[in-house]
Amino acid sequence: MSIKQKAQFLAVALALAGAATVAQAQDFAGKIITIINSNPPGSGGDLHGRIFAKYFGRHLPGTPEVIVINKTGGSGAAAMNFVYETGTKDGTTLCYCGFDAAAVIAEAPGIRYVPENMDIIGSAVTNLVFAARKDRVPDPASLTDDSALLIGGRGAGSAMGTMGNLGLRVLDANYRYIPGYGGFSKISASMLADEVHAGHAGLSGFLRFFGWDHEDIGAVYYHPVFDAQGAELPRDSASLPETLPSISELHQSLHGVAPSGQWWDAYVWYRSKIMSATIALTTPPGLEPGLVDVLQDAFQKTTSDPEYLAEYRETISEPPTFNSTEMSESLFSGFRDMPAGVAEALQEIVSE
Amino acid sequence: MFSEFISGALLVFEWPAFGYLLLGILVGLWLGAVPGLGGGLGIVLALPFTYGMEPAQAIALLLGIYAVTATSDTIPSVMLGIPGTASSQATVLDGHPLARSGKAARAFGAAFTVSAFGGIFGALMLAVSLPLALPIILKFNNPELFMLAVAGLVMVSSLSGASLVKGLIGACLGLLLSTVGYADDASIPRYWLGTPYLLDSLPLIPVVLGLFAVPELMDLALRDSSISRVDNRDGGSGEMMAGVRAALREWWLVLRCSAIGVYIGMIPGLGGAVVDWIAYGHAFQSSKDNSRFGKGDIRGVIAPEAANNAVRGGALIPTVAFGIPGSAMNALLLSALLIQGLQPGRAMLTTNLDITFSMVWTIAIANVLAAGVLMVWSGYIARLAFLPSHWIVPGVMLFVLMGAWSANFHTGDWVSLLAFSAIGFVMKRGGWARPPVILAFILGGLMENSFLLSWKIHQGVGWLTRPIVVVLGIVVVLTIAFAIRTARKKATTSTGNASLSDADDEEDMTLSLLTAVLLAVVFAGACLAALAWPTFVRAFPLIAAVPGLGLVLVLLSGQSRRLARVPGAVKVALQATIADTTNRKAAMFFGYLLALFAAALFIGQKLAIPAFVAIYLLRWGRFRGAAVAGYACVCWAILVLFYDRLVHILWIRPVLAQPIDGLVPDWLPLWLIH
Repeated sequence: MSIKQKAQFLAVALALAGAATVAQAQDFAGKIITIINSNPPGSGGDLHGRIFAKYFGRHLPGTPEVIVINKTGGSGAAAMNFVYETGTKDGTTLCYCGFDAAAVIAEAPGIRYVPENMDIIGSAVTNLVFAARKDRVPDPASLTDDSALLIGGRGAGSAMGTMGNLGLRVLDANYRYIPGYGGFSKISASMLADEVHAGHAGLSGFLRFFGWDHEDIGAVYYHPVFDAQGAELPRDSASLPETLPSISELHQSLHGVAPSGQWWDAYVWYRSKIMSATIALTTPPGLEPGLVDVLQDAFQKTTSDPEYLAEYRETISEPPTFNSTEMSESLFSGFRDMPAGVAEALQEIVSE
Repeated sequence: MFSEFISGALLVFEWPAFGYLLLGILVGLWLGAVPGLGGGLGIVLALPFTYGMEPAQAIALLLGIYAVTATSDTIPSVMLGIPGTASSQATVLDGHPLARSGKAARAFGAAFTVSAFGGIFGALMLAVSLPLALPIILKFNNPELFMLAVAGLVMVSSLSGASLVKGLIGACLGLLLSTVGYADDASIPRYWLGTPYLLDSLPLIPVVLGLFAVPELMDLALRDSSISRVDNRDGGSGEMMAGVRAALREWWLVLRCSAIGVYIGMIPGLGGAVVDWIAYGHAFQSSKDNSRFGKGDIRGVIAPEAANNAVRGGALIPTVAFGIPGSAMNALLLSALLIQGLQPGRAMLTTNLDITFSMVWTIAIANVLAAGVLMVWSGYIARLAFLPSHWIVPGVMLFVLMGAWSANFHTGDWVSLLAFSAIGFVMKRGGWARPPVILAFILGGLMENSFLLSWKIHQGVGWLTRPIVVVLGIVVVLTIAFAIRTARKKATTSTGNASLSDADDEEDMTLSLLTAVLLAVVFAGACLAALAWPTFVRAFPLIAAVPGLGLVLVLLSGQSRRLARVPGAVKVALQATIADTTNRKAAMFFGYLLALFAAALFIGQKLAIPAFVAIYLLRWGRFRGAAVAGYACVCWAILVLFYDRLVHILWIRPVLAQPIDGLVPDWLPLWLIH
């Protein structure tokens, strides 16, 4: 064997060894994957994460054990910081977290992660509704009555508060926002006691506390999902009843025209860019691209696994809409490109 | 309805549901007895296993855990003076003095008897109150919740110390501590000292364990004896039966306190944290002779223990009937119900009534079985009071350390534990009661939230005239008046009666003054910092800090007047503090803890904690040989098997991880080491 042949042989051997190392890194046999969940134990988000974890492992090479650890705090920041700063870079530490884009943009204290440096494995968009006491909102026209509706919420700057209040501005509703509620369980108790009259809710929260047939509380409208061009996507008929109007349908019936203008533009942008990845599975920065592909592939397979979907339906309700990998990646990298008009509208909403 | 009542019982006694109930009871007993764990952890661990179960099986397992933690949490309260859970704080006041006088078995006999009764009473009330509860629950809105919490705090402040002023200052401190971190509705962090760890508020468990557990363990370690200060080891079963008889004799008190437990439990948000104090206060104020309270009066054990078991049934009412969980543990149970396809509300009273009754039966049976099991074991548990304390300290310390660490899996948890241990020690030595601090810290978040929501919803303070708020306000005024009258009576008779304190009997004047001066600085600093914030953000910190500062200044002026009457008193007190061997040994104990923390950073907790245990046993306990090695190995096994394999906690990534990994042979899994 000549020196050249030896060199070629060595190069091939090294390449094969390198490929074997990558393949070995992508084989999770015998490993434990830890999913850090930013939601408190027992919450809806915790259940989402635990059911997902139960099926995720079976779609990864080597079918590893997947465990969930709750790490709450900072509206998800504590978990994201933890994974960003200390997560192992071999795919065995992932974050199943609520991603607070508004806080990242505002550079709020305590946010130490940079989403663009992390890899997104997958995301989902949840259905959102506006729920109100039936005696206070007997029909949609009462939204614009002279007496202000009291809306309970976490805070005007929270993602749900901003989204919901943008919707009320679109409808030109007369409302007074009462911030400071810890979550929808407190809001629902306050609604039942008639302390506040309405609240913004994720569909699973609404179904959990009230449901479609509740005597005193009902859903008034839902927030639709938009495509990348801002066009409204059809309703999720499996989850939402035909009788429940979207916000744009309600606007049409209240004002006789389709919604438009600064509030509508801000609403569409916020729903598309910020509220379309309400649940996201992310990794620490610096994962090898091949490994990210494997994890992304497993995410897509899990979210279309019939057994997973059946358990989700049985345990919680209709599953959320899972975004494609491309959509997830674009949401995670494009959320900072906020048009000036939208920024102005959001500033006004947040300072309510 | 009767057929559903029977069907509910049959569901519980069916196999394997009954087996799950027994399992839940055992897990619940263990979690309640270990400080820093609690029933919430058990439900979190068990929840995923219930996904595939039948509703009755899942309910049996989860309610088994839920119902009995309030029974076994009596054990650390009595034996160590450390509340096993938040709802057994008041038990410490009389339970621990009983253990120190060799009567732990009597306290257990009484506590377990009334726990069983309280639990059954709570279950029965759950059964009969479900259809009637809605009007009561809906009457307690944010203004009423706020005022009820104020009433609870004032009651604790007036009961848990010799000085009402010190109690109220402690409550103000607890409220102020609860405001650390982000404000409720504005992205403005308060008192976070530039430390991201403090952005989210101080974690409850390290603070509670620091204030209560470590000072008590230090006390045990420093005394170098046993928990019991008298030799009464032959009185086990006799003492226990004496406790049972005392409980039966006080049946009317038990009934009243159980009713208090059920109705306080029904109010979402307050639940277990305050009910033991309200029951204790009721027992104290309704007793003709209350001179033994705080010194080992059995009624001081009976009242809180009856109430804190009954509260569980009461707390289930809003969860089951309306889907309103009153606490984190109830939120977990609500999740479990929903996972089983059981929607809280009318369905639980109609189509699923048999399931509802199975919950009633489960709570009742769990309480009876738990009390029976603990009665059988109580003789053995009480004997621990006569063991050399050095056998107890390192084992309990392991659970304290890991309980604190489990709050956030962050080094800040241990820093908080250490800081509050020092504060707790100084308060204990300086004659400051700690329960008001803890209760105010627990209730602070709820109080601020209720106060601000009341203010915003009613656009001002008009809510103060609501009828229930007015009634509760009168209770607050009467409680303060009663406490002042009792203090004056005590001063004139000089009998030393009614001194209810978890602080040391002999107050260290220097540490008392030092605490007061430091608190004055803290309150003043808090006021100054708060002035820069918007109204809603600064309101509650000022509500805590301004009265706190005023009361500290009143206390300091009184103490300085007294000191001025005796020339050289300050110098004498200072010399006594410096010469006190307890203080010097305590400093050494803190040195051990600091060394443990440093070692954990370098080699990880799984090696550092067993090393701490071994060194403690060798140096402090002067034990030798296989006993030390065996004890350390058991501790290591608990860390690995329970905390790592079962609970799946996150560990410190040690600085020396790589060199350690290099020393470990390939066949040995790294999770055994760090």
